[in-house]
Order: sequence, then structure tokens, then C-alpha cells
Amino acid sequence: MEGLSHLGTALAGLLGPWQIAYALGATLAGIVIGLLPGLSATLGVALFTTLTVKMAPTDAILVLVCVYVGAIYGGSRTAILLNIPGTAANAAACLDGNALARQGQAGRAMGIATTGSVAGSLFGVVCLAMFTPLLAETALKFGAFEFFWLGMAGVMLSGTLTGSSPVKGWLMGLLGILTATVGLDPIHAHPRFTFDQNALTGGIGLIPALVGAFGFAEVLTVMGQPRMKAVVSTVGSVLPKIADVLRHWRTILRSGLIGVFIGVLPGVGEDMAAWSSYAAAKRASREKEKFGKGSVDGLIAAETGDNAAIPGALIPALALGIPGSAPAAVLMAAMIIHGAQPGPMLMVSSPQYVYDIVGITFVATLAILVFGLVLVRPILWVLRVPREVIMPIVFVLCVLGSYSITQRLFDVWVMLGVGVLCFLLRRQGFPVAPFVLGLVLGDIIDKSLRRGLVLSDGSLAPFFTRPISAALAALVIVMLLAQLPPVQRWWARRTRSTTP
Amino acid sequence: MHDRSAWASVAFWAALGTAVFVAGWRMDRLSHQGIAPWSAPGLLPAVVGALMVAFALVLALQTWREGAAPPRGSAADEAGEIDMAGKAADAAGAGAAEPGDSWRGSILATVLCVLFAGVSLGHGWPFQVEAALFILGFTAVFRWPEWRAEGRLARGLAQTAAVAVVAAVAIASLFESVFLVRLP
Repeated sequence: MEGLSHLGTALAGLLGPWQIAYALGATLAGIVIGLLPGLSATLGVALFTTLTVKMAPTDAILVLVCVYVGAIYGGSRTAILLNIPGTAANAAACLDGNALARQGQAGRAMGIATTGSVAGSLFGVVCLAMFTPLLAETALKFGAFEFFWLGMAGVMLSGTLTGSSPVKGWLMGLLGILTATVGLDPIHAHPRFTFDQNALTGGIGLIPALVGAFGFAEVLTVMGQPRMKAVVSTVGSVLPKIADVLRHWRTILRSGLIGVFIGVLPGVGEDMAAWSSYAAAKRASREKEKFGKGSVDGLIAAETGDNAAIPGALIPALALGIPGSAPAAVLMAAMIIHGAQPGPMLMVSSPQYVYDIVGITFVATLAILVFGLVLVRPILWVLRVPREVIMPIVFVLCVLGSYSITQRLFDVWVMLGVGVLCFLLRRQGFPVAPFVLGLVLGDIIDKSLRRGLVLSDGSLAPFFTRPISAALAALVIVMLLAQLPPVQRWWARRTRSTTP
Repeated sequence: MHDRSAWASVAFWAALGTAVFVAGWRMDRLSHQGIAPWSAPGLLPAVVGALMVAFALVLALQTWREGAAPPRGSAADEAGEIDMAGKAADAAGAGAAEPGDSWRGSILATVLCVLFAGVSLGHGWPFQVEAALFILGFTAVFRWPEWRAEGRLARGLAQTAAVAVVAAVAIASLFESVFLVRLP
């Protein structure tokens, strides 16, 4: 009952004219960001974090969540019409969405995508409201040992599930943790890796690093690719048919569950949620041959999954202080900038804050429904602007965004350096998401490891014998061992011997 | 080419890991302050460095074994399965560069961006002027051949100059007047 009361308070606070204007404006901006290939939800949330620093905390988080939701949804437009995913999360929508568009059903495809997105997001909002308090209550039992393994598991899981090679993902995660150690150590204030430079004593700023990794690196990547001409085909009615929704309720439910679960996994993100939902829908379908050729089931599954992952990613961010995706990591940083402290104590010290986030996510979902139905054709005009004009404007925003948090040119140089490094590493197949997780979780991992060892007087036993620690340690060790060739060969032999 | 860059990656990570481990090991343990040795500042860096070297060795082993392996995803495609990690990786841009990718565009963009943000910024010029010149210069450099081929060099430059001025002034005003940020 208390939860419902908090939710009511949250929704009432979001009905003001300024709040509605912020929600609609930010969602529209997010849709445009998601629409443009090369721009990501993470970049959108990072840039808007810098713009909203001086806003009231609730209004700022409202803007950021709406940008996040809008960006993930917006990428489906270009995925359907041009076979170009606006964001990585919309790549799965290309397969069947574009096929439907080529069959002259572009409007129907966009209506289906809107329906799936709204349904997935609403499902995720319900899970966010139900599971965040439960997870936070469980996390109150966590100590330094558990938080160390939770942080390490988050980074390792992100590395395992994103990118083409788990080892490459883990190396990026370690790079992120290393980057987080630059500056004054959080326990004894001893300088680490500062090379006697005053500017480095404050460490590497999270927002400039993220803007570099997801903004500047993306500008460099896009400018190195062949130019794709955007030919926008005609679009019919985008109103979703009720029959489409009712016939695919099982797919919506299944994809919502998968999306939320994948969203909860640290650092994995919306793109894996979309693909996992798509694969599950294909396996469960009686018309598997239609997948990839215009399957409504496939399109709904992809869009429901990726949008359900957004509230899913916020569950561990709010309850544990461990983000479920890269945009959620930036959102967490924004919450900290605005005075909140995500983690188990959040439900104890300010439970209303959690329900404010639930209410904000619900409002953002309504906003994408509005824009999905009324603003299809006008918004596509953005695609006609050449990338040679858009990319330098994006870069100017990246520069100002990096500068505006602490008003230091040093942060702009951080953005440049991290951007070039991530660009070069991405070309070698090293994914960026684990780097972000490492950067965000490095502080928790550092403090927890050292505190745990002080508490145990140097003994490693509690790290492996306390129940929750042992389970998380086992997860990390299994992930590591699973990459060793002898283990992989043993598993392959075992699978062959048990298969009839 | 791919093998050479893969081995260069291995060398990078091994060198970085070694340097970080050594730096962490040699970091002041603050024993003169009477702190517990387990809370020494260099502990995590040393652990991270050691793990980096270990993973670099695993990567070296994988690179050596994959030397003649078929391209990733081909087996999955033949089986009709969806190579989820591969598709997500490709979509997220974590795959190797596609044939036809141009380093030239990326290098040019890097030089222009670094000249603007790393060199010219903060030296007294109004930000709006620097930003407008950057947007104009960036666009002109990349679209010059196309404009020349179409015989609309002057028109292209004029249109881009107008867009650059409007964008620079709008962005600067937004940050300065609405979000109260002092411009560099």
C-alpha cells in the first residue's frame, strides 16, 4: 500500500505543465537521437546530463529518462524504413521491420513497433515498481565481500555477453576499472597514476569519458564508413491494429520477461535483450520460415524486448548501485550529480525517489506512444541532413557537454583521449560497454576489496565462504573457466555424448 | 593485416598490464601511517595489471589458434540459427572493420576535431566563432569533391556557412543563457 501511495505522489508531481513539456520535448529529442545512425542512447543521456545539471533533480531525471526511452524507440524508425538501425538495440527490428516495409506495409510495421515498444516499457515499469524494493531489501544484507564480487561479476558478465570475444570484453572491463583508479584513492587520499599533474588528482570524469567513448568515437567511426543515401519510402497508416496486438500477446509477455531479465544483467543492454527476445520468439513460433521475411511476431518480439530492458536496467541501478546498461550507468551518474545515492540505502532513506523514477518511466512510455502515432513523417526529415553536417554539430555538443560539468578544458581533453582510444579499440573488436561498467563500478570494487580485507585481517576466506559471496565468486570463476580451450573441449565432448 | 593488428593488440595489453602491475606493486604502501597493508592504494592496480597480463596471454593463444579459422558467424548462418552475440556485436560496432572502410575519413575527422577542441579552444576567440568555423571547415573538407563534381562549390559553401553560423549561435546560446554554462 505504501508503494501505491508513493506512486500516486510521483504521478501527481509529473502532471504539471512544465513537467509535461519536459517529457514531450525530451522524448522527441531522444527519438531524433535514436533515429540518427551513429548517435546512441548513451550519448543522448550523457549530453543531456550536462544540459540539465542546473535543473531541479526530479525534472532533470525526467528529461534524462525520456531521452533514454525515446532514443531506444526512435532507432526503430530507420530500422524499418531504411534497414539501418538507429541504435544497436534496433538491429533486430531491421530483419522483419524492413521486410514489411518493402512489402508496402511500412505504416503497419511502425504501428507494430510502437505497440511492442509501449507494451515492453509498461511491462518493465511494473517490474521496476515490484522488484526494486525487493532487491534493495535483499541487498541490505550485502557487505564489502558481496559488493566486491557483485562489481566484478557485473564487469565480467558485461564482457562475456557483449562483443565478439569474452576475453576482449574482460580486458575492456579491466581498462575501465584501471581508469577509475586514476586520482586520489578513496580510502587514504593517496594519489594514483596522477604523474604529478594537479588536473588528474580529481580523477577521470565519468561524463567526459562516456561522451568520448560514445560520442567522439562514434563520430570518427561514422566518418570512416561509406555514405548511405537515405531514401525514405512512403508510409501508410501507422495506427496499430488491435488484432495484431491480441494475436501476439504471448510474444509480448515472453519478450517483456526476457527484456527485463536481460536488462537486469549488468552492462548487457537493450541490444542483447532485443536479439534474445527475437530468438525466443522464433523458437516458439509455428511459422519460423517467416522470420526475416516480414514476421509480425519477430518485429514485436524485438521491440518489446529492447524497451522492456530499459526499466529492467534501472532495477539494479536503483537497488544495488550497479547499472544494467550503459545508458543506465550515465543515468546513475546523473542521479549522483543531483544528490541521490543509488544503492540499497535508497529505499530506506528516500523510497519516494524510486517511485518517482517509476512514474517518470511510465510518463516517458506514454510520450513515445504519442509521438509514435502522430509524428512519423515529419521526424523523418532529419534523415535528409547529410552526416557531414550532423557529425560536427554533434562534436560541438560533445565538447560543450564535456566542458560544462566542471568548466575545465581538461575534461575536453579527456573526451578526446578516451574517444580516440575507444575508436581504435572498437576497430580491433573490443566492445565499449564493459569499459563503461568498469569505470562506473571501479570505485565500488576498489573500496569493497580493501575494506573486506581489512575486516578479515588479510584473509581471503570470507570472499569465498559467505553464501552470497560464494555464489557470486562461483559465477565469476565459471565465466573465466568457460573460456579455457580444455574446458570448452570437455564441454563439447560431454554435450555430444549426452545428445541421442 | 588482421593478424598483425591482432598481435599488436596483444602486445598493447601485455605491456599495459605489466606497467600497471609494476606501478601498483611499487606504489607507496603508507606503512609509515600505520595503515593495514591490505588497504594499500596499489592493491587493486596490481590485481588489475596481473589480470590484464593473464588475459593478454589468453588472447595471444586465441589469436594463434584462430589464425586460419573461418569468419565468425558462418557456421551459425548455415545452421539457420541466429548468431546473437555476433549480430549484437556487429550492430554495436565491435566487429572488425568491414572491407571498404576508410581510415582516411576517420583520420581526417580526428585531425579536425583535435585542432578545434584540443588546440584552438580556450585561446581568447569567442566560442561561437570557433564552432562556426569548425562546422564549416569540417563539412567543406568532406563535401568539397562532391560540390566540385556537381559544379556548386560556392552554393555549397554558402549554405554550409549559414547552417554553421545558426548552429554555433544556437548551441552557444542554449548552453550560456538557458543552462547557465560559461563557455570556454
